[in-house]
Amino acid sequence: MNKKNLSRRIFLKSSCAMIPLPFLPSIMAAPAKDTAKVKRLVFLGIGFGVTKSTWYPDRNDTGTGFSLPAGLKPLERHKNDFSIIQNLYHQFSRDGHAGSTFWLTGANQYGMPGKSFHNTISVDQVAAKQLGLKTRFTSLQLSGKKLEGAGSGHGPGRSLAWDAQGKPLSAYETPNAAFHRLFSNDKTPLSQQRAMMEERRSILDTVLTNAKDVGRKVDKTDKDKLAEYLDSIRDIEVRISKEESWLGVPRTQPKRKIKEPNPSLEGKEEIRIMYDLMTAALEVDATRVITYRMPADTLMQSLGISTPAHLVSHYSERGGAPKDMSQKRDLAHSTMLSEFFDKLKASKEADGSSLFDNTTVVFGGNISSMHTLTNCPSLVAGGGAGIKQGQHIVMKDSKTPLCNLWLTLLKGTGVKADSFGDSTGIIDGLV
Amino acid sequence: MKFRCPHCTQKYDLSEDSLGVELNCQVCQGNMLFTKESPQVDSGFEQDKKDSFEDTKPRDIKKKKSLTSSISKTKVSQKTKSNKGSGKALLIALVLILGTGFYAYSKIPENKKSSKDQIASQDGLQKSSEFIEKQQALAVMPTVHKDIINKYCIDCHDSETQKGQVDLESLSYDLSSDIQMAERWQEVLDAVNSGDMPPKKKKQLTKEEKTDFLADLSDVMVVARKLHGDNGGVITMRRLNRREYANTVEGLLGVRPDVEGLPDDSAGGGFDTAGASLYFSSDQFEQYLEIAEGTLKKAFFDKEVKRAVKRLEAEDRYGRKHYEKLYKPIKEKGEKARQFFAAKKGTPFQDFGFKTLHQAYQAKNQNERFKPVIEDFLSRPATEHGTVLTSIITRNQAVLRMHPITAETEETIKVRVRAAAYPGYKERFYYLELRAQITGVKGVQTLGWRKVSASVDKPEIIEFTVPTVVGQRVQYSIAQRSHPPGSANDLGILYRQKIIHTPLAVWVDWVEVERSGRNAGDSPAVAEIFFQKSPEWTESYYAREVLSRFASKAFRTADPNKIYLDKLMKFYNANRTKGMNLRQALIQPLSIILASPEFLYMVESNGNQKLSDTELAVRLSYFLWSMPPDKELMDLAKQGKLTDPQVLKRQTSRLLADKRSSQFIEAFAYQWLGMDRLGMFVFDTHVYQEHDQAVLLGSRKEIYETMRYILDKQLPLKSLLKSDFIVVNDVMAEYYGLDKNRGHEYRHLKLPPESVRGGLLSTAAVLAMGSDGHRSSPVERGAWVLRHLLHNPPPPAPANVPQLDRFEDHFQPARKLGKAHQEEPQCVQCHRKIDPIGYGMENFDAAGLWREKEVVHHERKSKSFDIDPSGELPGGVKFNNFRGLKDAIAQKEDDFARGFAEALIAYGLGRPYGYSDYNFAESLLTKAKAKKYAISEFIHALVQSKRFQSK
Repeated sequence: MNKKNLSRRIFLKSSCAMIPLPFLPSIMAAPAKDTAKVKRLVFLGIGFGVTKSTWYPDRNDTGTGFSLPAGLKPLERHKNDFSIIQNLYHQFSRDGHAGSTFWLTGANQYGMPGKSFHNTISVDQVAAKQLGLKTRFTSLQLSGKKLEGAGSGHGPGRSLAWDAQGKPLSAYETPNAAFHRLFSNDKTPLSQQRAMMEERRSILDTVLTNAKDVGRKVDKTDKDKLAEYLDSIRDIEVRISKEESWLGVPRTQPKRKIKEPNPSLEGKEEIRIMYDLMTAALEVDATRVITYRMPADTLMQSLGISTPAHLVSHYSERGGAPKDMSQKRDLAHSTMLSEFFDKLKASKEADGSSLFDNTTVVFGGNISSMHTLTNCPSLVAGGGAGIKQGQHIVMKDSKTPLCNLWLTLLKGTGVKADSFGDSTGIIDGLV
Repeated sequence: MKFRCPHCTQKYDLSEDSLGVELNCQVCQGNMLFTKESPQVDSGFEQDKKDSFEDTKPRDIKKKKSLTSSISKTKVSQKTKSNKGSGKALLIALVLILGTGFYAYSKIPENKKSSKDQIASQDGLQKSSEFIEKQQALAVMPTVHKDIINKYCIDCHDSETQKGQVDLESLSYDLSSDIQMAERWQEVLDAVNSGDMPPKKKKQLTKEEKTDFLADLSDVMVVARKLHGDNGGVITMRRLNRREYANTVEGLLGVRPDVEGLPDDSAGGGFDTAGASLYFSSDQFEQYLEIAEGTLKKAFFDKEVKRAVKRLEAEDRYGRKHYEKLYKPIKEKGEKARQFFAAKKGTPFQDFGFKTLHQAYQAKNQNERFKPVIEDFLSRPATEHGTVLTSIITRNQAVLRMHPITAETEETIKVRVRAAAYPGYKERFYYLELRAQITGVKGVQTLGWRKVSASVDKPEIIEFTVPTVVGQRVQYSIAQRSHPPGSANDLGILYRQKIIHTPLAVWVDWVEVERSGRNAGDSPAVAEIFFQKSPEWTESYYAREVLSRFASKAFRTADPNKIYLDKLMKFYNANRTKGMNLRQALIQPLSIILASPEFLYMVESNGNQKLSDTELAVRLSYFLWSMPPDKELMDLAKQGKLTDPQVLKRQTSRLLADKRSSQFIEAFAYQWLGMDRLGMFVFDTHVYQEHDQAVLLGSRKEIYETMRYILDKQLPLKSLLKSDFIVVNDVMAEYYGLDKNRGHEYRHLKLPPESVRGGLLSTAAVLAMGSDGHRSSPVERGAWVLRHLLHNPPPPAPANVPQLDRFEDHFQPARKLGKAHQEEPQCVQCHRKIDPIGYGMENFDAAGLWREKEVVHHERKSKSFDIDPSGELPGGVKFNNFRGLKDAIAQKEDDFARGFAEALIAYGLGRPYGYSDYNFAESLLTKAKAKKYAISEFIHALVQSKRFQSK
């Protein structure tokens, strides 16, 4: 059921009790949706990079009509709908095992005196602040399981996303968990749901009483630590308020129904289902900002490769088994990404445009290959940010801030931002 | 009046009433007592520092800001002192101006004094401030490199041209001055590492210049990062990490919670006790609530569960009858095939009952290969009952699977097997493996191994005892030893050798699973929550009292306040109104307590710097047990006796001797020694057949058990570097080729003099970590030794180094591959320190077994190379072979002990080790050294220290 068809009648049918009609953003937003198209952003982080010689297009073959290298071949049918940008990097990134920690932030780990780790808000969260107002979920974080630490290539963090305080945001780590969050409808009667929300508020109020108690006792440093707890409680309060305004609005189901994913899916299968879930989530406008920290070792295993992702990333350009594996992984990624684009294109919006036309998908990471943090792999697809697609751009300056791309996407998506991270401007070739 | 701390020379400006009062230095925590006669600081001292730096630094260095230290003090009355029952030194609580004071101090060598200012220190320790000054000096790029910058860079990057906005002329050579300066140097380091600078067309550095430049700059950068990142010893309030949370909830409720969904706090690098890195998220809050509620429901289970035994007769799965059924057609078809192939050429196969020629070959094959094995099986009289485990019927490992059991309550499960062994097989095949398949969890878990040693005429009964996880549905099974998932198992390995079955080594009569059951009624933990209600209490009063007492216990050091309890009671009342009984109605408020900050965080605050007795008890208990204090410790604390150093020492010893201290040993060793690498990759078991699941898990346990043994016996820490014993079970002893019948418990084993084992360096775990599952890695091994044994960690692998291409030919010895590291200065700078150590360990293969030749395997082919195990340690100590390496490392006991002390400080205090801890670490070392660096001495010294007892 599409949200735009959501009428008062349907609403009343779906609720058991006669209650005053609450403020329903989905209904309120509906007219707006026709005038200004809804824009979405999706970030897909791969951790360890790609195979240098076969993933990046030839540096001399730029502009439109460039030929796709072997690693991107499965994307051939979408060739006019995505662009590759080379020579982007984060000047402050130094951890050769952290492909995701600073990818969307550009922060300097050592930037704060007295701290050995520091991060700042990620670009998706900047976008979510604005794009997430009208959706059930402000943003959606997805991640493969057990990706903390150096082995996965992602580095510290719980997802690709970092909040305004530079603290890691958590993610749904299985398709099953994401599915339930997105599409499982609460069968509980509305009045009871309302009561439960009140109850949750009381719970928060109770633990806050205790938090205040703790706050009175501890010193400044610990107060800062306690603030993390308080922030979390505040987050939940906001979430409850949001849920309240969505109360009784059934979770819109995608046109192509999605079955409950098997909880133990891993690797390739996991990625495919996550792409399905993302498509569905965007289609029903459950959220407009998604990040996905993609599995590393389990992807390898599902491709029949027992060598861990880290060792594969240390492949040699001159050949050998690790290079084959690295290329196999690139192909698998491109194949699945291509299917994802198919799905986004197949999903039509009310005005006849496709989801793909209104979504920006970024595929890449902070590491290009091995421990190299320059020329971050950057594939940008879709029409969500109004950028010129089908291009291969090699930035003149090999040290162009990756944040310039983030700023370009923010502006293109209609998010108010004058700068992001260490950005020095937007990427002219894309607009 | 201005004085200096006699220990660290920190400057203090004190008023007159501070004279004659014992104070603690806010920097080094040392005791200070100033009188009017104490030597005062003259006003000119700021001058001499500048002079001493003049010759080592470029002129443009910015004048550093001066630091004004603040100090406050409290006089503690004699009364309080005697109340505490301590005749020891008067403890003066110092309210530190936290953070900024320390930080500013650590950054500013303002009060660096020349030798004339030196006030002789009592104990001869090198002081933190001196150390920090030394580090600051180390954060200075040697001026010789100025010539390099001038020669190769300054043409384009002088202050006037500033090509690419890079001005190297104005660069300060002191990286400790500020983060921006460190950042600018980082850019220089990056540019040279990546080969971007100098530009290809310009004059290049010589190899030696570049190597030295990179080596110095990398080292300087590490020091500068540490200096800038040092928070001066602030201990951040810490959330219970995942392990601690699980232990704590289990302690309160008597049921272990399922914490699989919570983030793994030990995965992020550093110790999982570091408060600052233990974040909190809104999802986590909801998870805590949910876990608590679920666990409470399980804990309140009070029905009787009957003791039950279920037995599986092995012959019902793979018995004689199954083999006979299999045997008949194989034999008959085999006979036909024999006739067919013996018959005249051209005789049609149809005449012999075959539909295709392939079938005839298949029958022939089966007759030749399977028949003898089945005959072997059938020829064994013992198979009249039971079975011999082999893969013939299953075409896979033979697994005896039991009916799944769902534990409704904490029970003990015993799995018994009646079994016997046939002689003549490899020892590995005599082990039975107990496995568990948990419904909803991917993969099979291995719970343990037992070796079968009884002969067939006198079988034995083997027993495994396993705890249950309430609510889990588990299928137990018994099989022969297996390899980790992802690698080839025995059948696969043997297949490659054209053997079609696993060895018929073990006879199994039956397997049985006994669940202990439980009596009706509450578990002790629940009985404590629902203590006996006083008859005159109303039910609501009782409920409030239950919540209040539970919260007090859960909060460890504080009682809940009234408003909080009022709010909790609202939930109870509402639930009662909904018709729930007393217990059901309390589940919700109880779970809210377990999601409240005072439970989830270790709140340390009594308005003082110094911890209260109960706070100290909590810190001690979480340090050594990762769980809250037990009754004895808490009672002592509540009586105010814990601050008595003798009492504290006895308690520390008691906690260490208790087996709960394995929580500390395992978590600490795992993180200290970087053991997450073990299990990160799977071994190529075609090559390393012996390296199976039992060895993988057993080798990890060996490290823990060795630590345990050394701790318990108060042996020198050096035993971890070199020893004439190992602590192993049967699996590991056999793996090392030592003892065949040790039993499954880990015990001390005296090594024969010719053995290469003894010490961490030659354990299977450490050696396996120094590989990638295919080849040994001198780099991984060398870096591990530098990091964990020699306290000389190499700088982090630089990003953006141009990749060295390996040789196309896979058959290259390690030494030759390592030569590549000598080609580029970017690599030489570190690898010259790392690789030569790793070469000393080349006589061990990837799986940690001894070898005389280096065998390189690739795609079923292999090639052997001679091994040259000679090398050298940084500093130039040369060795000829592994023994020489081990001896040379054993000489570095002091370095090893320092690394250990620093790690212990970080783990125990719950914050990263910083340079400002230098003196503190030194004091632990001095105390421990007197007892040959026994682990317990470090722990006592840490626990008795002011830092451990302060906020």
